[in-house]
Amino acid sequence: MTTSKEPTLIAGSGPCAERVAEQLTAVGTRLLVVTADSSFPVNVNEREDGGHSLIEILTNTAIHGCRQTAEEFRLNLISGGNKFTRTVSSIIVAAPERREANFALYGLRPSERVIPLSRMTQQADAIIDELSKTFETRTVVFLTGLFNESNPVIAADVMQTARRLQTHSRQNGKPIQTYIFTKNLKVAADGLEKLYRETKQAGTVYIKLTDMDPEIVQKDEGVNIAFTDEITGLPFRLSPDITVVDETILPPERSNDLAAVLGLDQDEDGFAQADNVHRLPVFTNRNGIFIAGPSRGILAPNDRIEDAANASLAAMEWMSAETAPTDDKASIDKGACVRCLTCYRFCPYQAICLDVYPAVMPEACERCGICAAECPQHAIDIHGLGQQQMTNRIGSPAADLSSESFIPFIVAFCCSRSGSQAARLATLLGKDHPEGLKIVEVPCAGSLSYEHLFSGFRQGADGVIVFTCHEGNCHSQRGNTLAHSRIEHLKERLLRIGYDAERLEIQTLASNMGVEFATVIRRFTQIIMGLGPTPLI
Amino acid sequence: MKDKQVLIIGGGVAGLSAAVELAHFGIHVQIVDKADFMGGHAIQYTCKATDRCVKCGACMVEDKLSQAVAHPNVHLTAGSRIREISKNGRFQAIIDRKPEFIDPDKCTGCGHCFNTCPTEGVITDGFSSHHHPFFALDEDKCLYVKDGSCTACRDVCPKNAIDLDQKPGTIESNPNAVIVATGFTPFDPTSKPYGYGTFQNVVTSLELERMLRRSGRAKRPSDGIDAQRIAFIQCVGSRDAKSGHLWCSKVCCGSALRMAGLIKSRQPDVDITFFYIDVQTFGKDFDRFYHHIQNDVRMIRSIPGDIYPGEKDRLKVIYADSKTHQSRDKTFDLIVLSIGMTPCEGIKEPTDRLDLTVADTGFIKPTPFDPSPSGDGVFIAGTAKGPMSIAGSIADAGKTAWHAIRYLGIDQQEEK
Repeated sequence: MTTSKEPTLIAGSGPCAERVAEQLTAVGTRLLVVTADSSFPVNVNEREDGGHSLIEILTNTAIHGCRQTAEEFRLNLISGGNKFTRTVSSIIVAAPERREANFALYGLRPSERVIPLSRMTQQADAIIDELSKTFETRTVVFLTGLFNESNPVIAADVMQTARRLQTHSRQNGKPIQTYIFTKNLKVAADGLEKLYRETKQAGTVYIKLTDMDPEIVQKDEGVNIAFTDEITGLPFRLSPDITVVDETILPPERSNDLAAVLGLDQDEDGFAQADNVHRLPVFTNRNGIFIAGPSRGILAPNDRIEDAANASLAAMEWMSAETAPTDDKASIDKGACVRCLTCYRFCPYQAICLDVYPAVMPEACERCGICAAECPQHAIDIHGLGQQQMTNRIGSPAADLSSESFIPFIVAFCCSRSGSQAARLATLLGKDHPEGLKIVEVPCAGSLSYEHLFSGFRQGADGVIVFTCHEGNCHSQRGNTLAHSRIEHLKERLLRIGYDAERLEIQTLASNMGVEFATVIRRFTQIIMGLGPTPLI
Repeated sequence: MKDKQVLIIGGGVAGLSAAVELAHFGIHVQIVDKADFMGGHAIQYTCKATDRCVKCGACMVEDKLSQAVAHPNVHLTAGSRIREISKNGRFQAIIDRKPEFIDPDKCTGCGHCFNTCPTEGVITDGFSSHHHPFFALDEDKCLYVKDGSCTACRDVCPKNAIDLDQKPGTIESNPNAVIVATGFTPFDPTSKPYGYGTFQNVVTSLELERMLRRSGRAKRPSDGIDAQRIAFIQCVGSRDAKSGHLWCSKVCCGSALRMAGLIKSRQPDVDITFFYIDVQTFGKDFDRFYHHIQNDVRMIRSIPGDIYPGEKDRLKVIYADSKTHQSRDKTFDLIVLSIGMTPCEGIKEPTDRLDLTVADTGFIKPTPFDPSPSGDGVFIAGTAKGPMSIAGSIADAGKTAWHAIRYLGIDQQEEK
């Protein structure tokens, strides 16, 4: 099925990257692995392809440049001071998890008896053996999610380790008592509620605090924890032999650098996948670049396996997709372009490639129309969004002008992903559109230029309303916020020339909000009824 | 892979997502779903955004449905059930299909039939603009089917789209692989001491989803007036040893708190209380969301023991207060039970026929993946395996599709 000659890039290492490598080589896909690490275990299903290995591994290598051309990505790589290039057909980002222990959060400093969770998870037996030389009864306290909200990945590690310590104590006769201090115990992952019950049965004591924080003091000889039990209201004090401090899961090393090089949107915590449902599960703002595992967020080990499959699927799909038709994508008129690069800066999909002139890569273009709306030279054309086409689509008031009553002509520009679907749903739910309503579907509200918005009024609209997706839900990431700011700006201008700014409105909604669409249109129509016919004609 | 066929049992978000993925590879997909409308439970959910998207995923179900409906390789049959399925080389399946009373090619969704039908609940309407036809007719309640005494809907239809003489049909399918995406059954809270089914103003979280989807507001079912004081009770049928449900349903904290935020934004004077065991993390933006929602919602870490009726259909909730260590009560006029996910009812039939194993939780046990031709060719996607969010179901369906594609031979075209 694979049509591209170039391999797929796996950027990163670790369990998720290895799994992707295993999956893709199993179906005969050629791979290039680039990792800053010194090794990448190839326990993959090594399948020979005409005598050549399917997988090339470049360790101790960093990506410091990436340029997309039609169907390919050209990478600038650097290894041991040597710079070189490689070409790949698609990219899967999959770096290993990074954690940081929350010592500071609990006012603790690391010591032999105050240790991070990962160390306890990995070396439990050795630590306990060491302990048993000094202490008869051993107390281990886990601090997790007390001053911050934790997650099921950390909770699973805490509970599994606690259970192991408790059962260890049963086996060799020397008791270990484990305590887990937490606020909200995170059990929203497969098997964790059961694990929680098992740890309790094994003897782990849970101290769940809601409103009152425990007092944690570290002295030379150890840690003292004072707290009030919520069930009895009685004060308690604990001085554990070992205090295990939980961890925060952070974006992988060099996540910011890689996101910058590949042009990926990041979420607020720095993971290289925007917090946007349209990117689920493994998609980025760039077509042909996928992201899996800890690179995209906090994921349980099971979810990482799922990600590896999804990334493999997405990469195969990308490579086997038929060449995108170019006629419905954006195109730049070289004659009008002054190379200001506004399009390049605004394109949320990084679909503009820079050559002598900027050009649109059809495979990468999602046809959102933001570039065309922002281009100061009007040099970008997208079928259906040209000024004349838009004017034709808006049409003119259908209402009979000789009629006595005022039927407002309302133009509703609707994002195809939300507004126009909601409009259809409204009529299906029996909420008929007002008589003078004209629905004009656009790919994204961000495609609406000032000229488009104004052409509504020029065509005689008594009111113009734009329906766009909620903030954080725009497929083009910021098409909706661009629409909001353009409309705010235009409203100011309308006010300045003495025009009723209420005739221009913007509303956010989702595709399934048929009822809300009807409510908003009804309210807007009433406002326009109150204002009367537009004075512009 | 143009000659390959996959049968997907269940048209919820997992089934639809898997179908879309397979279809992209040229595989022909038949989805059957026993409900009248595709999309499972989640197609009925409300968008929970206030001014910002809160990542509940409800719109993604719409998205997957629209992609499945639009794709020429995906064939969706609502109102259908598997009668027989067996494997001998390929699978042989016989599917019973309800009568197609409404011709989808003729129906324009005008709703005259829905408005005209004299019997309550015979004609039901869909949830999504991608439900086509947007209406369905219940043959068990229809007077024409019963005794031929009523033809009101047929007479009023301006497009002649209704044929009341349609008979049930069967579909034969010979797929190369089967995906079981039968989903979950919402926990029935009648057995819990919360008066569900007795007190009108006790509703389930799924009923609230539908209420918000349909009317945009949280109302008291007893009189249709906006609720003033609302309680959410979490973990009803989840984390519940008495019911043998030793699992967290993963999504209820997120859906309840997001709905609370939505209601508060639309009905600012409403007073909302949230009874819980542990608040579960949901979404990338959880910290900020949780911090903010605590200004709008009273959080009480206690699961109420009892509910008593009060004046004017109000309800008194008895709970143990963690601050005073005493029993307290509070009065509400709408109580929402966050019901958990339980194994799909009637799961035994498909699991027996397809030789699947049921785990001790009652959900289907995932089978180890075998890409070789000797693999059994049966895959399980979504909440049939256990509780999952919408995002989780989409990811799981992707993985399942990948396994199915590998089984069918992504790099080899030989027949299996």
